[in-house]
Amino acid sequence: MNSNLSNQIRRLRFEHDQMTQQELADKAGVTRQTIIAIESGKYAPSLPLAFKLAHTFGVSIEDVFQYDNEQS
Amino acid sequence: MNKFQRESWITLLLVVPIWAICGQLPILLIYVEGPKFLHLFSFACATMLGGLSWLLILFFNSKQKRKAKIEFDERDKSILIRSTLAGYVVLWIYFIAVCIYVWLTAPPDRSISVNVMPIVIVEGIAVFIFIQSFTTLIQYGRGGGNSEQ
Repeated sequence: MNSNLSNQIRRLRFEHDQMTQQELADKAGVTRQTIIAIESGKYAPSLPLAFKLAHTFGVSIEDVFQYDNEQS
Repeated sequence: MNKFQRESWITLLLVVPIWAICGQLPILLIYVEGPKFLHLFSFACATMLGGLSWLLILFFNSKQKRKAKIEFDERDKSILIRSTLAGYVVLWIYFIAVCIYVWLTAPPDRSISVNVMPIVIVEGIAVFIFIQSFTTLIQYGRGGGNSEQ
């Protein structure tokens, strides 16, 4: 579990016409299980996948993922 | 549950027991009663049956109703690499442990039966696929394939 890595995927999905996890997974080229794991903070995606998710939402990578230095 | 989790469950619950039983029984028969044609023949048949138990995975996969667009991604790859590595490490530990055990329990003339080797190999394969499947399921359960150490 990455306690110092948080993400806004759930919020961004709902802001994008309540996009389902499966739709996001298909757009990012991963499985739904991976989206679930990322959303719940159990899996830290690779940099290319993080960029792909950000591009899917049309935002920058910092808008999707936040890294808290103080917790490390 | 994705394809690889399902495969791991099938391997853990069906393939490993079938392989271990099919592979072991004839070898134990040979070990106890000595090599006879019938035992060698049954060993060949049982090993084939054990080997064909992998077809169960194809059978259960064909029963899946809806095929997902993407069935394998970076997380699955990461999990697969880790579980294979875990299986490989445990396999070596198993071989070393078996060698030490055989060395310690060998009779005074230091000779061992030729039947020991097939038993060790068949069990080694069972150990490898068991550990690989088990660690795969553990990693999926824990979110799996976390790239951040």
